[in-house]
Amino acid sequence: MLLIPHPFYVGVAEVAYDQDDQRVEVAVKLFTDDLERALRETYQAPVLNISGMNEHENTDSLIQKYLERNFQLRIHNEAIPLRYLGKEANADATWIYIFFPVEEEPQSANISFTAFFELFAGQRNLIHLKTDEVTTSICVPYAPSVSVAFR
Amino acid sequence: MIWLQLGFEHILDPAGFDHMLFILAMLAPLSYKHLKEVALMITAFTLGHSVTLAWVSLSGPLLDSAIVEAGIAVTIFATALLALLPRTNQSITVMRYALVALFGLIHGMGFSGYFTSLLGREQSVIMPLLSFNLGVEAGQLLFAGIMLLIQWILVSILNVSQRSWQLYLSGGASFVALTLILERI
Repeated sequence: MLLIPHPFYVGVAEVAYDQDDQRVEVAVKLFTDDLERALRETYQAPVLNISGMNEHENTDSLIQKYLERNFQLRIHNEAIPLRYLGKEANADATWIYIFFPVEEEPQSANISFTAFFELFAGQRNLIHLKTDEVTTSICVPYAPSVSVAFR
Repeated sequence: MIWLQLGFEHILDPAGFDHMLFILAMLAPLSYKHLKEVALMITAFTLGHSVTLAWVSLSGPLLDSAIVEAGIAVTIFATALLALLPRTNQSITVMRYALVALFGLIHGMGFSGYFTSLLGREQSVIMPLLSFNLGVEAGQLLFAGIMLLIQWILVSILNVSQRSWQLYLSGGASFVALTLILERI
């Protein structure tokens, strides 16, 4: 797969509470070449070919492991376990779908989204929190987490 | 506010200094004594890059990002070379404004590549786009202001000639632009 060069380091997460399924749903967008590099360096993984022709069989479990470390949701200071749904390749980026089972829509939560901070000093991670037709965007600092208000 | 900040930081990002280098080459023939021309030049650049930033962000890429990146390097080189021409010639000045606006179109495509990578999937684009663009403008004005301040110190206090300043910037920008071109083609 030919990777399109990109001169910037950006991660995006869309976060929303799903009333019907009683969970906080998150779609994370990461550049595929950076993700490949992060997994290889963090877990000494072989060439994974993420979303490529011969994708390594461990790719999904490594992505899940990496996000468990780098995308954390806490409510009342309690860490909620991450569930991995799958991923989808999109041009030079990969969308990763995860959720956190939460029985009732929380007032607020703490999110830490630290993907690629270990790779690039200029990494910017953004959270788009969707609540009742409104999207609030937050830039994640290098500090451990940001607080978001669902209601 | 977040989008304003992201636009501001994007244009002033030292790791992506090509837009600053363009502004430097664009303002090289001018000085703190020609504030009206400085304002017109910045406006011409803003017109150009705002059009494509909005266009591409709303309706998708016009050119491959590798072509845009190489194109940006070429616009810097051309602008730095044009900075050698005399400022006093009216038709050259008009051509400069036109070219800067045209080159702005290419830089706007670069801005939109970054801007769209920050968006979610179903987010409304208009408000973030306006704030991001305003942030870019603010960053651009700050950079131009710092440049003119340095020039004022050199020219009016240390007696450096305007022509030396012009040649220094034009030469420096040409050299860096050339290495960028070779890197990107």
